[in-house]
Formats: sequence, structure tokens, C-alpha cells
Amino acid sequence: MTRLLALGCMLVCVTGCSDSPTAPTSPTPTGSPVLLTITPATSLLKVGANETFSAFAVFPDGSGTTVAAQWLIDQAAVATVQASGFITAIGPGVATLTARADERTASRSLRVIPDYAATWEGDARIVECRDGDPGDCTSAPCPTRGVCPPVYPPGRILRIAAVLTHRDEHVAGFVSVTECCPVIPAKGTIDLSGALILDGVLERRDSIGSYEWRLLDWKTTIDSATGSMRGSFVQTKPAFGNNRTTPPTRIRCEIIDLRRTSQVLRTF
Amino acid sequence: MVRWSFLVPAVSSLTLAFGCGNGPTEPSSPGTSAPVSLSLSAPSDLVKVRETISFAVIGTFADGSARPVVARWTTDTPAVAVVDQRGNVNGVGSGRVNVIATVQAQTAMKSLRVVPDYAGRWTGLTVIVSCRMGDFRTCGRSFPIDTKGTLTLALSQDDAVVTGGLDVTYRVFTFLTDSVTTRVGNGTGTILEDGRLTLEGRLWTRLSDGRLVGESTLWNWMSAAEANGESVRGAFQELSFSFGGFPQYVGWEFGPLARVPPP
Repeated sequence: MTRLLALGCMLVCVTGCSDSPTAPTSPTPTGSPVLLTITPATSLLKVGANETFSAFAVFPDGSGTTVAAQWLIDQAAVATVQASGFITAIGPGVATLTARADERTASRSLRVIPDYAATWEGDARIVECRDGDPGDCTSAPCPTRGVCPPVYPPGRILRIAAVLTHRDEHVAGFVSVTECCPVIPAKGTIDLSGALILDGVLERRDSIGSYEWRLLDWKTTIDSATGSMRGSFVQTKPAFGNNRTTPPTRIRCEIIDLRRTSQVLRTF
Repeated sequence: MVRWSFLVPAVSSLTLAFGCGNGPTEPSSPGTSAPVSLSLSAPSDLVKVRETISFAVIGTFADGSARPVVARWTTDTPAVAVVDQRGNVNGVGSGRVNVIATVQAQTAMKSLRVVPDYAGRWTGLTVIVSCRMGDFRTCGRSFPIDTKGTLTLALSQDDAVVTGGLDVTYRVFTFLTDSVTTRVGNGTGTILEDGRLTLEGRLWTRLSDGRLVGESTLWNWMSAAEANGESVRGAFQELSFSFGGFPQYVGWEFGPLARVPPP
């Protein structure tokens, strides 16, 4: 009998010391939760995306399990949540998701951003042109024979292409303003209002030094009704012949209508 | 003999009361003073899938002393990581997880990120799935859709940052052309929260004399680990620009790439 007791005690000890990882469940959680968390850890969604969240409760004995919860979201224009924890991202912005179970609450800040990842093509109108070579900003006839360099008078329409990619709020891409400038690599972010902010520079070097094209103050938004991207940007270009003594020509453009092209950026 | 029989359960009971093996020695059974707060520590806040990291929990008591305590461990997302009762956390799948320790109704929590292990050599099938060029003849001649080849990756990984090189060898066989082309490149990128890998870099055609020509941008790379981390599948694009400044693409898909065992 004594040996049986000893064996049983050792068995209990060995079982209690098991090192094997266990799933965080308990057959009989006791008491009210001492901690509530929201899973998964997703905190950023693109407009139109869905995610199902769960509430995970930890009990006084250290056991934990998924529990039913009441779900709330404070910005219905940003995202909606169903009783099951199923979220739909509606529009750009930040919202707080709250789970409540047995007088415990857990919160998660959720950010919703527009989806800019695409190849965009369309038109922009020059609204301001200054500095640069004499004549750059005028629509005066070419005073000399031969091929004249392009001019950028206000009102002129330029063709724009932008190739953009992003998985979160950090955006990278290339912007092309044809009949003006080479393709410029650009990087930027999506701000809290959902607007895309981009800047870029393309630097070239020659025997004298360096010269550059710049993309500045790009700020665009997507019209949710039409899918059109609109906004404005500033483009600078070196003087003719990359002359360093003449300031670069600076044109400010209003984007009339940029559309996603049929060229799909295939992602996995 | 009788004395020995009594001794065995006594020793077992002592072992039970004072914890299990080489872990913290402070018991947390009812009746002992409870810590007023807990804190978790770990050597890193990131672990690779199938890698193990040890957490420790320190209790601070009413008298101001602090010492390791025995805790009940759990994680809130077992699909991402599991923990044993010594605080050893094992990465299971990509994502972020909360590791939670409980001592007498006190809890402490720490966030841990789990990422796939992309380091190593991978090789397998790749295929051209799209081509849009300023000069349409280029697509037909150099990048015909459905052309198959072999993609080899050599990647190194530092936490969630991945760098490496790639090598694409493919044969174009049309009524105009029968040639084998090797594209080589390099890239750097990061592992996203969901475990997918992004890369950006450059690609060139390697000529038979070793010269690199025809530079393009390695663009929009996205790959994911599969089969418990033993294969990789994904897609990428080569991006260049026509004379008019409009983008030209060649789209590739690849996988499954199998992990090449180290020599």
C-alpha cells in the first residue's frame, strides 16, 4: 500500500512537471477572467478588407481560453463589427475596437487605409510654372529654327503614370511625368486622413557635378465613388543642358484624373 | 524496508512542493505571499518558426524584494506560439502572440513576433505569367508568357530583414528564337506581420562572358513559406521604363521552391 502511494505520488509529480507545450485551454476555468486580450494582432486593414477577431480570457488559475464577448467599435465610418467579432474596413481613419467579457475589456486601435497599390495613368494640368530657362513657362512660339525644348505654360496637360505598391502605410513607387522628366523613384506614406504623401528625387552626375529632378509635395486621395486618384504635386527639372547656373524649372500640377490601369500588379 | 517505503512519498512530496527541476524555486501555492506585480523578460521579442525562446517571470513582493516565481503560462494565439510550464515558447506560425504568465491571479503579458525562417538556399520552378512592354516584340521574343525556368534563391535573414540573391535560368524556344537566358539579381526586404516576404532590388541578364546587361528593377516581390516552412511560393515583377517613360513589366510566378539542404 505504501509503495502504491509512493508510485502515485511520483506519478502526480511527473505529470505536474510536464514540459510539453499545451494549448491555452482549460476544461473548467474558474472565476472571472483576470485578463482579456484580442486576437489576432492585426492593427491595419485596407479599405474593403475583413478580419475576424476573438477575445481570449485568462483566469485566476492561469488557464486561458477564447470566450464570447461583446464587440464595439467607436468609428462606424472607419469600420463595422458584428457580434461575432467580424470586422469590415469601411473608410480611411482610425477606430478603437473593444471587446467586453465578464467585466473585463480589451481594446485594439485599428487603422484603415486606402489601397493605392496599382499602376495609375492619367492627366495632370500645370497650374504654376516658374524659374528655369527663359521661355520654359511660356507658350510663345519657338524663336529659333530646329527642335525646341518642351515648354510648361499653365494650363498645359501632361500625361502622368505612377506605379505604386504598399502593404502597410509605407508606399514606394515610380512616377513618370512625360514630356518633362525621367521616371523618378518615390517613397512616402499614407497619412491618418488616408491621403498619399510622396517625395522623390532622381540624381545624375556629370563631369561638373550632380543635377537632379525632384518630385515634391505629392498629395493625393482616392475618390471612393469613382476610384479616381486626385491631388497635386510639384515637379522640378534642371535647366536646359543641365546648366547649373540657371535655377531648375518648377511646375506645380493638379492631377485631373488618375485611374488604375488594366495592368494588374500581381501579388501573392 | 518499512522506513524506506515512507521515505519515498516524502521525497516525492517535497519535489512537488518546491517546483519542478531547475525552474524558479519560489512556490506560488495558496498561503504564501502573493507578488504585488509581475514582469516578464525574454532574450528577444522575435522568434523564428520552430525556434524556442525562454521567458522568465519576476515577482515583486510587498517588502520590495523581487525574485523569480513559478507561474502558469499560456499564449493567446496557439497557432502562432505555444508555451510550456517552464516558460519555453515555441514558434508555430507567423504572426504576433501574447505570452501570459499568471501567479495567484496576477498576470503579466509580453508580445512576441514569430516569423518564418527564410534563410538558406531555395530552388524550383518559375514561369512568366505576364508581359507588357513598350515594344511588343520584346515580349514575344524575350519574355513569352508561359515560359518556364528555374529560380534559385540564396537568402540570409536577420530577425525580420532578409537579403540575398536570385538566379533565373529559362529557355525561350519559339520559331524565332531558341536561347537560354540567365537573369541574376539581388534584393533586400522585410518579413511582413503575416509572414510574407517582400523584396526590392535589381535584375540583369548575365551574358556568357559574365557581363551584366539589361538592368531592371526587381519589383513587387511577395512570397510566402509553405509546408511548415519547407517550401516557398510567390510572385515578382521586373519593371523598366519605355523611352516615353511608361512602365514595362515582366511578371513571374514561382514555386514551390524547395529548401536546398546545406552541404
